[in-house]
Amino acid sequence: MKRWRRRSDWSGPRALRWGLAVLSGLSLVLLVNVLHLFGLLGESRRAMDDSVREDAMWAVYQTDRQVSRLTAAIDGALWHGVGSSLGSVVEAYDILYSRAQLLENGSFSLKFEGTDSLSPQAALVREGILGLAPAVDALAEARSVPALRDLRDRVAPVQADTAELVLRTNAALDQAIVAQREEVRRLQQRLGLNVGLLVVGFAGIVTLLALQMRLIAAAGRKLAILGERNRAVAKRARAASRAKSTFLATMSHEIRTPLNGIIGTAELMTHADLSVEQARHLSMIR
Amino acid sequence: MTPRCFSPTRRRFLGAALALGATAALGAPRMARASLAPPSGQVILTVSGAVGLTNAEGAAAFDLALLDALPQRDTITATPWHEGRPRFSGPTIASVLGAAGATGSSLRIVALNDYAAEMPMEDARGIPVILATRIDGQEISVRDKGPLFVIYPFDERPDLFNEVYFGRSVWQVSRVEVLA
Repeated sequence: MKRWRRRSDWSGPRALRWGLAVLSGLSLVLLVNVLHLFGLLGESRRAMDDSVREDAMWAVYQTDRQVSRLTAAIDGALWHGVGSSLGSVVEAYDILYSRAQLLENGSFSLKFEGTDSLSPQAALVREGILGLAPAVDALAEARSVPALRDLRDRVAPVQADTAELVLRTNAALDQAIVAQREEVRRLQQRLGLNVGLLVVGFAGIVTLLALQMRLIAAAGRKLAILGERNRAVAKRARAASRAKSTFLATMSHEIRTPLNGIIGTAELMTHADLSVEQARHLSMIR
Repeated sequence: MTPRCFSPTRRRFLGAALALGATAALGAPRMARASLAPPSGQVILTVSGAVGLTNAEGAAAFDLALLDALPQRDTITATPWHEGRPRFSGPTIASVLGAAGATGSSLRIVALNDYAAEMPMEDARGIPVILATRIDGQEISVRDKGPLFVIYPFDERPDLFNEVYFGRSVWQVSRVEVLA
């Protein structure tokens, strides 16, 4: 019975200590995880990607718009006469040419990861626009209506390709936005879960600490009671010892008085005439 | 009695001489600019709006030669639109505005394709923004986003490297409207 009680007294604090260590370790891991997730959520790369994607959309729109302007300039030149409006056709094409460089293959595919249909279309548009250069140069040389008509016939398919690119880029942008929103949502969920677990872990630590405090307080109280009891026992022991000393001192005094009488009388009897028998008895007393 | 120290009178004299020199240096080009010379070549930039000095109808028109005559600046910087770090050179916007006698609170910079961006006057006055006429010494064709390209000194001022200033970096500039 006594042994069992002692063991239960010891295993409580040990379990507490183990629990605290495990919970602290878990909380630390969760904390690191939360910090990591937070870093992922706030990463500036994402904002940069957004901006780059919007730039791409803008570039595609502007290209499409400029192709329309080129078409309009050609139509204007056909209507008003080649001589007066040729400059505006060449300028419209030069602006379009400068735009085409922004549809470069490599960077364009980078901007829309996962949507592979886009960069071939961008390359198609780019090559279509750059491919118009000989026709425009020939037009600037010839300054003739047939050359102008020829250019218009060549611009028409490019215009169809740019229109298609606008639609595809828009669709890709939508996809990218949805994918990104999904990613942010997932990150937020993970973050929430981690924070929740962390809170639970901390609550556990606080509870265990409170339990430990209570155990320590109880042990302290027990110790105080034990000390009090020990003091009482010691006091009783001291009183008993004192009583024994007093008794012994009194007793020895009481015995010594008659003993002195006997010893003195025996001394005196040695000087008297005694039979052999009596002398033997006397020597026994001495 | 230390020989290195200037006496007060001598110091005053030096100051006056310096001030005189500065006035002379600043005065000369200002005198020459009092009337804007007419462009002889093809006009590539028209500054209109609140301008004090004109050589066309209500506007200051510049050809390449007129722009080249203004104080120039070289800006070596990376941009989102160029490979590497080219050397852009051309007149500062402040000197172009000075040549046109412009007084306003902001600028509207318009490109050949009618793209336009507003630039606050603080940018033009406080940041050495240039209207680049050349890249690595070569004139810029329309096909290479010329003839004029607004270039902010991105490398000297990394805080400018953001979308706001990218938007103000107009290329194929053809007109500047000075808004009062």
